[in-house]
Amino acid sequence: MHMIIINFRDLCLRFILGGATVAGCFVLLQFIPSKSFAGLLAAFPAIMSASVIIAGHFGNSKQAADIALGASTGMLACISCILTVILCIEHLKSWSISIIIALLVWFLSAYLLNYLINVFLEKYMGAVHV
Amino acid sequence: MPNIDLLAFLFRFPLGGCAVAVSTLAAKNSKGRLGGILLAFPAVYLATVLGLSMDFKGSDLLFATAQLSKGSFAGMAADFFCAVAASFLILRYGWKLGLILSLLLWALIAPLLYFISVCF
Repeated sequence: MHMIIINFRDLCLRFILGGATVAGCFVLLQFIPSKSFAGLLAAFPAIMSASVIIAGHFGNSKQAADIALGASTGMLACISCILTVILCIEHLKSWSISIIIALLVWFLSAYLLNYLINVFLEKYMGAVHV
Repeated sequence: MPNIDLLAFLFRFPLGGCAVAVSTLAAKNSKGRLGGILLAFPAVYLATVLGLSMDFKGSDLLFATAQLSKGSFAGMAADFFCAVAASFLILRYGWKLGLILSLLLWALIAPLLYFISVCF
């Protein structure tokens, strides 16, 4: 129960950040005729910024920097996820199947990249980042 | 000026908020490597794509999603530079200034990459 109370403020901040970016993206979609430009905002690093703010506020800058480094591998996985969506929509012509395949690709590539970067850091830097 | 549907706007806010909050909870409750992966879950992108499915149907939906994804691709590439820059800048300037500087860098790189991708 104690854990939940501590996390509540943190969750509220994330809820507001996530909600504001999605709603902002929707407003941009109405104003800008080009859908692809509004897509830029859909890639706003909302979870990462919220996590860095929380790590910096409750911990120290070193922890916040570690989170940013960990998120960079996830961003590479996001790039492969979006490439999958573009390719699947062109070839499969099915919206729901494309999204499901893209999420699977995202998970597998994120897991693989995270594993690889941990092996690399252990070997050359002697440190393990989470 | 186009009319913005207030109901659609109000519906999207909890959709995006929940996507981000749920992926945070999932990241907190899974230890170690899985937690790090979930930190960069494309929650905002997914919520936006789900929002598109309410506005469009059939081949329009496919076209709109493909267009949106092309923009997101440039944004995600900028995300990567932003995250790498943040890990250096935060160590150097502290987390507040470091985060602001790296988000400014994202705001500069993302439109730049977008216009480069449009030109090619």
